[in-house]
Amino acid sequence: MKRLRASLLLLVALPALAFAVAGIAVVVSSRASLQPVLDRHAATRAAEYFRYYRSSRLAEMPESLDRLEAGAAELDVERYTIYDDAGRVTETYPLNAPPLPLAIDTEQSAPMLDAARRGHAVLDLMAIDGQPVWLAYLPGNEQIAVVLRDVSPELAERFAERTGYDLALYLDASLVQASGGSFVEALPATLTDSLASFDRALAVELARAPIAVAPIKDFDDWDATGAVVVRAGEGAPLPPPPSLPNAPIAPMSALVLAAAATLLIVWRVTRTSSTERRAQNLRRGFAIALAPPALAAFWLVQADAEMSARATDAMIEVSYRCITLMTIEEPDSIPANVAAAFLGTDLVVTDGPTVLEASRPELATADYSGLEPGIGRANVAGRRMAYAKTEGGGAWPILLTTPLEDARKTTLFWLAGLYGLLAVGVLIYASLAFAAENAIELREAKTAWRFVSPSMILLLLFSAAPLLFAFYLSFHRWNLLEPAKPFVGLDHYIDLARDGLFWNAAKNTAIYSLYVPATMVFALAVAILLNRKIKGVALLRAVFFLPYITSFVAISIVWQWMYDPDFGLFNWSLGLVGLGPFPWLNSPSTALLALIIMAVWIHIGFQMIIFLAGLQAIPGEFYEAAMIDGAGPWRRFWRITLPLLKPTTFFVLVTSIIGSFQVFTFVYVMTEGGPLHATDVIVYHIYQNAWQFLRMGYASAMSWVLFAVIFVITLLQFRFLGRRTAPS
Amino acid sequence: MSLGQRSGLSATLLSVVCIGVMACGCESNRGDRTVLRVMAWAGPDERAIEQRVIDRFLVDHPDIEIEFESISANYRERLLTSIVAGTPPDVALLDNGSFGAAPFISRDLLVNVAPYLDRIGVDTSAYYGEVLSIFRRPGGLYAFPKDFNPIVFYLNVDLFEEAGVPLPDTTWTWDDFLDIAVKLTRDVDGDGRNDTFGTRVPRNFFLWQPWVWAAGGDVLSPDGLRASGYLDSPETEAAIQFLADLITVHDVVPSVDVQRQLTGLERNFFLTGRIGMVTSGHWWLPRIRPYIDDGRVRVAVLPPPRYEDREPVTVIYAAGWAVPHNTRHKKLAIELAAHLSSVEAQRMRAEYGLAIPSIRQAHEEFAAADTYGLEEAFLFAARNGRMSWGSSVEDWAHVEVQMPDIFDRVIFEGEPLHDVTIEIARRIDEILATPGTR
Repeated sequence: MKRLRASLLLLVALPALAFAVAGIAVVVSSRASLQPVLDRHAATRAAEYFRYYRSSRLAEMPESLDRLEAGAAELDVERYTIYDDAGRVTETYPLNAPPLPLAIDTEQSAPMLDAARRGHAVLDLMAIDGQPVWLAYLPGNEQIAVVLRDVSPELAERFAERTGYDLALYLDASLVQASGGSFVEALPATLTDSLASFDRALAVELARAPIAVAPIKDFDDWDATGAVVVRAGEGAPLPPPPSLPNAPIAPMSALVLAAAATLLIVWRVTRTSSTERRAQNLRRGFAIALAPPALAAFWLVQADAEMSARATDAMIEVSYRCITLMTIEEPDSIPANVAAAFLGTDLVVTDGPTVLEASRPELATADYSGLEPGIGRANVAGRRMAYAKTEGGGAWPILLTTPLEDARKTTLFWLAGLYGLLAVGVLIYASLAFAAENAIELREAKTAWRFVSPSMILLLLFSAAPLLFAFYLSFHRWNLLEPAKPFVGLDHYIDLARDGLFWNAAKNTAIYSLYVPATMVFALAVAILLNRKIKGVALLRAVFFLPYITSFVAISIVWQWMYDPDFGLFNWSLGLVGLGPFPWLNSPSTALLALIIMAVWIHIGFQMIIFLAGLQAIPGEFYEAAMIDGAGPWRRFWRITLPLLKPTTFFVLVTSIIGSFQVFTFVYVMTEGGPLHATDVIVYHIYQNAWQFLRMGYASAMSWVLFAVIFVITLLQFRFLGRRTAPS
Repeated sequence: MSLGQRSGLSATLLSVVCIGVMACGCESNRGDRTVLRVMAWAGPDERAIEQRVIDRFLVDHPDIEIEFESISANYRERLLTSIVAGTPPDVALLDNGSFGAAPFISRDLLVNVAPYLDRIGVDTSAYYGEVLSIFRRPGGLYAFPKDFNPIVFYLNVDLFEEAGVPLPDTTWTWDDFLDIAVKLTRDVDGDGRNDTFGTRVPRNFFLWQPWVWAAGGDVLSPDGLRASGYLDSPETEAAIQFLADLITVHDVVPSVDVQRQLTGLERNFFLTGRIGMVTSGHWWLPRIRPYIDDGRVRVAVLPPPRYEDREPVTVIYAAGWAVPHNTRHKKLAIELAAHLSSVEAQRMRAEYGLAIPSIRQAHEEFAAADTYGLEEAFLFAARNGRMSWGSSVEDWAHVEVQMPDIFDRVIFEGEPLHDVTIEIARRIDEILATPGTR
């Protein structure tokens, strides 16, 4: 009784504990991961802003050199020097100022000079004698101008003012400018190194403060020449709350409740003497004990989704605030896809019900008139999206992005699903273990289940989870290349019902599965022949088993040749006795048959081994007794061998039929479903749709139909054959 | 606590750990060194060559590591899942056939390398223009061409001599082709069954595309949006009918030869003198050179025959090194991709010869050094090659698998060709009109 009590405690408390730990991990990790996501988003916007700023400054530069002098003052050009193509100074500004060096000695300026020689105007920020300067190379009439400008002091200030994020700009790791706040003077080398090779923003700690840093690239986005660092300031959009005080309470309370329920069960179970009642109490008890964690799971999903939603809101808010950083006079004056890259979200520009611009074609046809101003969620072009929109007339952009909470919900959905499966596993274990008749049986059952549990977990993770995902996909459209998985309801299943090729594949699969009974006859015959103590029997068994362990692809290629109508071994051999030639794989009427023949040959070995095991389990005394009674070999076979082999036969039948419905390799290698779809089988059809046509949803629906078919067939086999084969 | 209880406990703890790991979604840290991953389909021989090319890159970049993942089966599946899972290779090989780059390009999944060409010193004019255009879009280049294969004809010279048929030259026509095929189809041992055959008619569309173009037809409209009016046009049907007649009327192919995936079978029949003329690409050469060296077979290569007085034309399949958009090492990846298609790399691969260097200079050098006298035809074919539909049509894989049905229905069911092409064209129109709707 003491041991029983300990086991019970373990069984009920551990799943709850597991869930509590996992739940806390989720909450902690989401707290830890959402803020950096938001910060990295801001850092990327800052880097984009720098890029945008640079390109808009470049656009302000005069197209030809002769306009440079006229516009110099207006353009805020401090100095410039014009060279001819041979590198001689032809003009300086201000007059008599010393010329600016053409080939400034940095690695960066040489490519700029090259670009200018090829006719491109380029502009970039670089350090000359430790001083940051804007440097432009303007080509024209075989001349090159080097223009020096002041660094715009307002760059960081403007960004901070609009977004609420403090910004620091670093060039070659040295601080160039910053918007208030204290930033370090030089970035550590490890950080700049990882930025140079790592092509995206990073969230790190710098001087004990959480920051995000993004690389800035040179004039043609090739080398990383510096970095922008952002830090959430006072006016930053409300980040997710630093802590979610209630979150751990849910799993904790679940744990307490589960523990209380456990005690209750232990108390009731240990007081019950009847095994049956004990099992019943147990099951009830488990249902109660597992409910609180399940409820907590639901609660966690909600809490986490809420937090992710706030982070999404904050992200889209940052992007929205960035719009004003782009010097937009007309909102549709900047191409939508350029603006979208700048903002890190999708973007549409609408004027009333008219869509003027959209960053992606499918967004141009959607209706945005129903969106409430502000930040919210809406279904756009078949996808749930987060949007930001302001009130007011005229053309103005709407930002759209995928809500973070959707992805988190999916993760948590799987987590909860796995927990559920775990709970079911424990429940089965417990009911079986404790419904045992006596102590020995109980111990055996418990030990058995413990052995099985690691593979059960693997099975759940790698079989049950993908199975559920495929089920989810079968109601969605997914081409694998895009994250969007719009819900399509039962469309795939309806399409399937109308898809003639699918039914043709189903028919072919059913016909193909006829190889199973055929093989069984041969395999049993071979097994009986090889079930004697004769010389070389082991070798013969190995020979029969060999095809089954040979690569199916290799077998397919060899058989393809043997089947060749003109040069193949079969037609040649049959020709010797005056038969043929047969077209084998090359005709719609015989191709499937050819595959069946091959399947029989391959599977004989496997089935033979199982039958042999079955035969050897039949006690020899039965045969001896029958022989004494005068039964001949035929009679012995029908009356002893076959009836006693029934469980084996049943096993072979069920597993082989399941296998036959999953045939793929031969078709893939030998016929590709042809000719005229005569060998198109369901799994090949699924493969084609999933991987060749990228119709994952449709392929998943087919997989589930196949699963249902196999399930029903197996069930029928158990119902009509299984009962009679149970060993007595 | 008993042993059994401990194992139960550890199993449960294991599950907790599993769930915990899943919840974190932690990224594994691979140390301080930058590791670039290159994904390609490559056999053992190619793998050795690519490793040499990569080693050359590492000489200039001693701080990094490069993992070359050669995937011979299910390449497309592996690449797609790695990109979707957010762990893309830094450089991946794509083509305009089975591993089509088109859907990747149209969805912005590849880096546009055009802005960086000057930086890495790549002169695109060095490439064959048609090959380059496979990976080109307005304002962008999405892969560096690795190499390419035009579809050509291999002729078994011994068989021609045995049958007393003179070898044709590059001016041969469809009539010449039929005439030769009839002459090469012979019952050598007098048992009433043909032992040698003129040619084989491929079921795979990529091998019969040149015939369609040669006749002036096509399978899709120039914008690639519909098949009706093209697949069922008289010119296209003339080509299909010609091929079908080789089977059903002239009987110059082995049985009804609706061959399946290419498994080397047709090459063996060609090498053993069973079939006289076979369509294939440059990829045959590494395997048949040893036979030529041993004097077991003599081989000639010709571009596809001309239809009446039209220009000869063939189809080009090319592969290129692309950089997935979500690589973490964009700059290095672009440099590596460019290096993998550099003249130097192309020369190394040309020695093995599975495909033709995409840089004209490397091909011409190789052709000049060719002692088999076969490269001339490839130079000719390269000049007259057109890129396949897979270069621009996103759903091409889905369209292409419809094509063998035409043959099957005409040959096995005896349906009138025009009825079949009209129906298949409609089916293709539907596929093209609703890309990715399932």
